[in-house]
Amino acid sequence: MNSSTQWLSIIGRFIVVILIQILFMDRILLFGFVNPLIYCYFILLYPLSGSRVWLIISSFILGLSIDMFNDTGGAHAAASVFLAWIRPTLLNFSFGVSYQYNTTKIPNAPMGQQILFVSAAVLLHHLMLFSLEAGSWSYWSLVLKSTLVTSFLSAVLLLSAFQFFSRKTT
Amino acid sequence: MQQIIEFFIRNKNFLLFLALFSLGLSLTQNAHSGLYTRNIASTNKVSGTLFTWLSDVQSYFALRHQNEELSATNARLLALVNELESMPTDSIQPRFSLLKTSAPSLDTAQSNHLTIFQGHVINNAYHKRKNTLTIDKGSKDGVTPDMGVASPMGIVGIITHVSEHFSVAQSILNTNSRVVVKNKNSDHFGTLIWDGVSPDQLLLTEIPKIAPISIGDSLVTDGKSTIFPRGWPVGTVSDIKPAKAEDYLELIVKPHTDMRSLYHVYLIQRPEAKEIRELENLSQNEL
Repeated sequence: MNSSTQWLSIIGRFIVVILIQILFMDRILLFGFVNPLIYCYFILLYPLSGSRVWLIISSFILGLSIDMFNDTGGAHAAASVFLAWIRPTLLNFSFGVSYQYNTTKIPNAPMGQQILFVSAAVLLHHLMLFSLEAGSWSYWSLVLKSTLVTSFLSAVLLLSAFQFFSRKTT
Repeated sequence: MQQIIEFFIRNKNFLLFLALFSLGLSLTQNAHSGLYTRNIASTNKVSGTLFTWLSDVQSYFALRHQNEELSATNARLLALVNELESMPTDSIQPRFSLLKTSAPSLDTAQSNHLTIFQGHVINNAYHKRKNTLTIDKGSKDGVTPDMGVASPMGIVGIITHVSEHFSVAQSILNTNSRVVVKNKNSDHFGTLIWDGVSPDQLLLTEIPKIAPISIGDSLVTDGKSTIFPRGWPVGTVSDIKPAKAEDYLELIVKPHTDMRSLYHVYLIQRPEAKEIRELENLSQNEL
């Protein structure tokens, strides 16, 4: 894949995850409080060889766009930047140090490693997001509850999306 | 000098993360204190237009519910008109002249005391702690901050931000929300807040223990603030508990409006609001 088509596919994915999040996912409220967040898809599947600076900047813009539709100030932006920054550590933790030299894609990795990676990422992102959104420690039990339940749903959706929408070629 | 530059280059990812993360935090902080940055609120053109399309589609699926709500309001108003017409003309309070004047347009009703705009909720949140509503009327239609927002059943929020075509209201399901309400029958008043837990449950605080209040009582707006006129329906008392402070009660209130499905809303403006606020500011400055 040459670099210009890679750029196009990154930008396309960026726009598609925002649209899916605000048009479909934000309309879902299971049990009145579980709102799955799938826009992390972009951050998680950003090319492993891509520039980290651009990952951090684009994650911020991604989060801010979601904030714009939710009137949450910068909570999604801060949580997304955090996830973008911590991603190499999580990749290391889930797939081992060799991921950097590996040309394989995340959706082709063993399922156990994928589950570990996605759940760790989603838990951290959601915990950060819901804490910021609550804005006060007095809601810690609610924050914890939404984090756990929403993370489960988001992780399931993200892992299924990995299986369906990623090209299996290496 | 070289070392400083090298330090920046070596840590550019971390520094970039730190800068953007802090920016995100400060924007969040602003949103919590009610200060949105202009373009990041959902009143901007892009999100407003998208939300309008979406709610146009969605509103079809809720037509039956909306119609029932509107006809319930009509029934209530008809009963009120009937009651007023049977009174001697002199005793009718001027605020009811609203029912007698003809509206200048379909969207607006006006009386000596109130201006009521009709609008639609195009984005409604109730699962967060700081919930907001986006409404498809803006400064072009005459909407200004601090107008009250009510559904056909009862109050739902207060306008906080206005752009040309859209406005954002702080929902009563927002932990920053404070509305003064009173018992319909006894004039004892308290502050209506939300504890961030359930969209069906608000809290009424600062009600003294001696106030005669019981489960099932109706609560209405107090009219002391400049936002809602006196007597707009709010909800009913569903439980009474002693408050942490001695001699006070904490009441659990069920709002009349189902906050999960909002579409038609009224934006209420009290013409005297500006005058009252100016007067209050003046007297505060002099103290």
